[in-house]
Formats: sequence, structure tokens, C-alpha cells
Amino acid sequence: MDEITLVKELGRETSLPSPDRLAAARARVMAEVAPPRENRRSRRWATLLAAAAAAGIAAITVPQLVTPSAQPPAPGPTEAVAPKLTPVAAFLNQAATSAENEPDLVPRGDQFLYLRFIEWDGTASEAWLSIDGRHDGWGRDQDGEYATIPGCRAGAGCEVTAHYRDDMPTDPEATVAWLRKSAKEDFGSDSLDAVTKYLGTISTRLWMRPAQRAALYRSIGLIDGVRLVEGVQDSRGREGVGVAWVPSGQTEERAVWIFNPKTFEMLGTPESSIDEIALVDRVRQKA
Amino acid sequence: MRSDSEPDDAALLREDFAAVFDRHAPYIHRYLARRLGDQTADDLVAETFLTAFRRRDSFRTDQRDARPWLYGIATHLVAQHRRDEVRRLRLHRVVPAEPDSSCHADRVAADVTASALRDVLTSALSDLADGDRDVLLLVVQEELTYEQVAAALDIPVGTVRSRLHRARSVLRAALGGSNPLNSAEEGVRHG
Repeated sequence: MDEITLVKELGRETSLPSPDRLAAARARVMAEVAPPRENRRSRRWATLLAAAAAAGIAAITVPQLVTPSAQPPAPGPTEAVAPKLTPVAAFLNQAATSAENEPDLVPRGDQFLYLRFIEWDGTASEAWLSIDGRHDGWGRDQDGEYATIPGCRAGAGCEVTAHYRDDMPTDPEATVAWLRKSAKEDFGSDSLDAVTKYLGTISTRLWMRPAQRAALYRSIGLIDGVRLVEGVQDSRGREGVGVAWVPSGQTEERAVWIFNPKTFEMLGTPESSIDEIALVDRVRQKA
Repeated sequence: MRSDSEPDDAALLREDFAAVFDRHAPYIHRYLARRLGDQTADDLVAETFLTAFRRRDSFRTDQRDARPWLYGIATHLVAQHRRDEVRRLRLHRVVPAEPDSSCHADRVAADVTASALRDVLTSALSDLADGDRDVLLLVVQEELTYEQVAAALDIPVGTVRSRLHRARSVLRAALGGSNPLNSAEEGVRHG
């Protein structure tokens, strides 16, 4: 018996594995190779939107629009603030006044809201969100993968996710009601937790005209339970004033947004910050 | 290894990776099990295919059969477990696989002889240079051609031949055979 035969016979002691034996390996491989399409999509955009929510309201000092459309007169503040402002309301009133001085740019439906986040670890994430929700966007998730954000074409039977709402009020009290109604629709509750959670998502998910954003800031000052916290740092270590609340079941405040106390510019959150926010004409176009 | 009527692996790697797994995983698992045992093979077969998926762009589109390429990836993973492989080969000497419970007196002597040969064989395999053992096992047990082994391990065909020659020489010498330099490639399928 020669060495080749012996080596062959040694090999024959091991038989092919059964499908059952391979099942776990197959499942492990396919989980990475082909996760269910819908789950993958929702996971990706859940990640992105979580980042957006964490980033909070964008800096109001935005790059100039690429193609401004006709600009109707900006609606002015429609309501005086409450006579006796709490500290948080007073602070946010100043932030609102600052926001009102920004250019009033009305997006076209075929434009994109461009967002650039800087995460806690210094990495940047970008996204181009379709203004009317009917055009394909583009973005990068935390895995570093860029992918199309599918737009919902007319007649496709899908849910349109617009990134500009012309029905968003410019009145603080109306905005509070709008926030509660929207939080209930999205999160099933209009509690403080739900409203603050909703605030986190819309603040970057929606392009806002100056009067809308000003009303949003003032509306937050009207919500019981929201307060100011000093000495909070955003993800880049920039110190500012935090607008915070105490989540139910917890004892510590959680800052949702951090503002520069001198300029009232929104800096970000402890986890993330907005580097840029702008309107652009096409995906992958940077402001 | 496959007929032309079967789907092209280069296309399947991009379009239907599950089909690539189903076609080749049993053979890659057996190869890994032969070298490292079933349990390690269970893990490494998944590693092999995950690596293949991540590197699928490096698979040459003019190739139809991914199996040699997969063997190459698996062999790289085996290389990270060299100590385990050598330990396993030395264990073979002490605990032969699957003792035959129905053996009778006539077979005892033959079994003793086979067992002794086997001990010598596994000992010699454990003493082979790693690269020589890779080539020997891919050619003899996995039945790859020289060209397929060369592609799998990214080495010249001449190196495949010389490694195989050296491995056989060492085994022959260990088994007490004839001059190991004679008829070194007899009985080996080659391309």
C-alpha cells in the first residue's frame, strides 16, 4: 500500500456533512449575505433616522441654497410669547429670534435635504432626503454603506415620507398641538417622552422655513418638563446649554439639543452633531 | 469537477450566493473536518463563505468553478489553526477513528498492521512542512488538479509539483518504502 492510497484512505474516514450539520453555518452566512430586504432597509434607515434624531435640530446657519425658488414673504412670528417666560422658554425665544433672521427658502418637491452628521467617534454620515418623498434619496448608514433611500412614486401604493411640511404651524401654541398630534400618530402617545422623541426626529428630518423653526423653538418652551442644563458638551466637545427633560422612570435629565449660549446656534447633542444642513438639487451634491 | 451545463459560479457569486453555498459547502466542510475536525469545520465553513462573499469581486469572472478558490480561502483559515491540525494528527496515532466493532480474529492482524501504518502516516503528515501538507491533501484527498491547487494557493504550478514531490518523499521514507526519489508522481491525479 503506497503513501497516496494511505492518504486517500485517511481522507475517506471523513464523510460529507449532512444538510442539518451545515444549517447553522448556512444561516450565519445568509444573515450577512442576504438579510430580508425589508428588514435590511428598515434597519438601515432606522439607524440613519436614529442618528438624525440624536443630532437634534440643525445649526441654523446653513449654507446658501443651491437653487432657491421664488420666495414668498416670510411669515412673521404670529404670536407674542407668554408674558412670564420660564428660563428655558426665554432661552428658546432668543434662539427663535435668531432663527427668524435666516433666509426664507421654500424647497421644491424635487430637491433634497442634505444632512451631514459628525458622530461621537468623529466619523461623518451624510444623507440626501427627498423633499416630497417621491424621489430616490441617498445616504450612508453606520456600517459605512451608501444606499438608495427609495422614493415613493405616485400610484405605487407606498407611504410617502416627505421632508418638508407646508402644514407645519408658524404659531407656537399651534405647534405644540401639532407636535402632540404627530407624536401620537408616530409613537402612539402624546406624553412628554413621545413628544421629545418626535422632536428629535423632525428637527432634522424636515426642512423648516424660519418661521416654522422659530415656532418650534418657542413651542418647546411651552412644554412642561423641559428645562435648561448648563455645561453640556456635544459630540465634538463643544460646550453649550442643553435643552433637556427627565425621561419617565429615570432621575437624570437627558439633553436633546445643545445650543451655543452666545449665538443660540444649535450645536448638536452629546452623541452627534450636525456639520451641515442645506437644500440641494440632486443626491450626492454637497452644499 | 462540474459540467458546462451547470450555472456559472462567477454569476452566482453576485446573484445567488445561497446556491454557491449549497453547491460547495459540503466539500469545503469535509476538507476542513479532515484537517481540523467536525466542530472546528462547523465554524470555519461559515468563515470561508463569509470571506468569499466579502471578496467576491476578486473572483475572476472567466472562471466557472468557485470550488478551488474556496479551497484556497479555507486553506488560509486552516493556516490559522496549524497547531490544532498537528495536535489532531498526533492524536490520530493514539485514537484511530471508528474502530470496527464487528472485527473478527482474521482481521485483527490486518487491523494491527493498518493501525501501525496509520500511526506512521499521521505522524509523518504532522511533520510535513505546512505548504507541502496543503498541496498533498488538496491533490490526494480533495482531488484538485495541479493547476487548481496553484490557483487556490496562488503559487506556480511548478511549486505545486515540487511540494507534492517533497511531501511524498517524506511519507515514503517514513513508511519505510523504497527510494523516495523514484516514481514520485505515480498514482496521483494531476492536470
